[in-house]
Amino acid sequence: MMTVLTEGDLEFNFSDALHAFCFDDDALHGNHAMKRVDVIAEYEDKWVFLEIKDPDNPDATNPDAFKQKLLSGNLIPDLAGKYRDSLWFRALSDGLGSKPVYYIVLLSMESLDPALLLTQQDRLHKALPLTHSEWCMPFAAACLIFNLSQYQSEFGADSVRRISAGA
Amino acid sequence: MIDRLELKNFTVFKDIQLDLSSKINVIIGENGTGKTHLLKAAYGLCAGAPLFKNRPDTTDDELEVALTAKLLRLFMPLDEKLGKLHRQGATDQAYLSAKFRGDETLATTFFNNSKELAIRDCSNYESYLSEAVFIPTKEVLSFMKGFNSLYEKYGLSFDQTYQDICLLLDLPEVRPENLHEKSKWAMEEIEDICGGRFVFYGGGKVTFKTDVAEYSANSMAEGFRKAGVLSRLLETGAIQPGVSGTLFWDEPESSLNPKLMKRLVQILLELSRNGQQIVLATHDYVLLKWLDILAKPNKGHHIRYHALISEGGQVTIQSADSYKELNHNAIANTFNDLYDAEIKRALGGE
Repeated sequence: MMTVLTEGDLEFNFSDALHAFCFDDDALHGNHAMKRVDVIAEYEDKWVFLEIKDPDNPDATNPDAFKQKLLSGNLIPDLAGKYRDSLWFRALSDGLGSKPVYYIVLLSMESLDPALLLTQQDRLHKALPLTHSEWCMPFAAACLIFNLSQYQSEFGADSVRRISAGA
Repeated sequence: MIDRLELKNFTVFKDIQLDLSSKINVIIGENGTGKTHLLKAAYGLCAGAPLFKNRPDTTDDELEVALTAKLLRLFMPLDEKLGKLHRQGATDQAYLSAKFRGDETLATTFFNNSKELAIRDCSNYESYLSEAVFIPTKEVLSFMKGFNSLYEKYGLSFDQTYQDICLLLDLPEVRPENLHEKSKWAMEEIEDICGGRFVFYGGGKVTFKTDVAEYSANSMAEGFRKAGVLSRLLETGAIQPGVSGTLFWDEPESSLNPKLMKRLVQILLELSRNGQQIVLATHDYVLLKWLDILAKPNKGHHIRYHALISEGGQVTIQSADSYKELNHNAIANTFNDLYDAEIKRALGGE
């Protein structure tokens, strides 16, 4: 089944997933203040929790507020909290079975080179340690920050497209 | 192999202790936090090995004289006065101590008016015979011809790590059959990286040889010359996994193309896995990240990171067995600053 989800100017194709849905949906959550990742997708062998930040969106509104959110001091606690709350919500609702969970953050901003993304990924690992000597299972199988081209090389060239750029 | 290092009231250090990994140790910290001082102090405390190898009956008095001379030549304090290495404003004595793997110990003290170090403890120190190696920041192949005699004769502005490394590079090579397997492998790797090999003729004469021609070593890229130093130290047995003392390397990244870093890290990990203790000081994110990514604890690798932190005029240290556990990572912080600056520029600059 072809599942296409859009987030702002980005269109995601989850056709290789068993199912995928927009998790950041008020209809699902009501008015509680838990944080939410944008999308949850279930695959044969894994779950993917996807958070999308798209500063390259040409129609982005209020860039100043967006900038404040993206600065490293705000970004990391925000990303960590979204995964933590979403994992908890999902585990208490439908459960996750025994499949590993991958937390993917798409930070679509061409001017950020991979070295800069890598340091934010390291900081995210510090805020969300994947493993702990006291835990019997990892918190996440992996926790990765991708730019658009890294995302496409991981999930396929057709996995995401910019709507304003046409086909 | 050094297990523990302790420095009190010495240069910038009020009181620091380091428990070293038997494999790789990485010292990071901003300029002025004493990375090189730490390396040199540890190297200086290893200076007994060559002494006792040549003269097993060296007395404590002679050891004090030799260690004092070593420290002076390593640190080159103002007016060549040992007391200048005493931490400014400290009221207690400077204290330097190292504990080695076989329970050998060396502890020394001095004050701001001392002419010589005083030995407080040297239990079994005479039996620690593994000679340390110090690779300084600048590569040396380009100027090693005649360097040793010049160094002995004139007051050159090079510290003694440069003379020591030149002497080690001029040693004859070990017979191939006596070389450690991993040394041979590492030398082949370096030859592959450089596209040829450095040839040492003695007296500091060095050339670079490929399959078809021989060139002056000076015509080679500085980064290759640096890799060539490591290869030669393996060839002469100055670095011999499981046998030689600690390898100290100050800023391996300087003048090295970042593309070569991955292979250099693979070589260091492999040598350390086979018993070579290594202590690196670095400013380089690429080196750190490759160490973080390539080190596999289940394959016998181990890295301990030591971050020197300067706060309120005090240098303290945080050690962690994982890169991500470091709370004070000056190198990563620099990249965070770059990240923030890029966000600000791209989304309406300030």
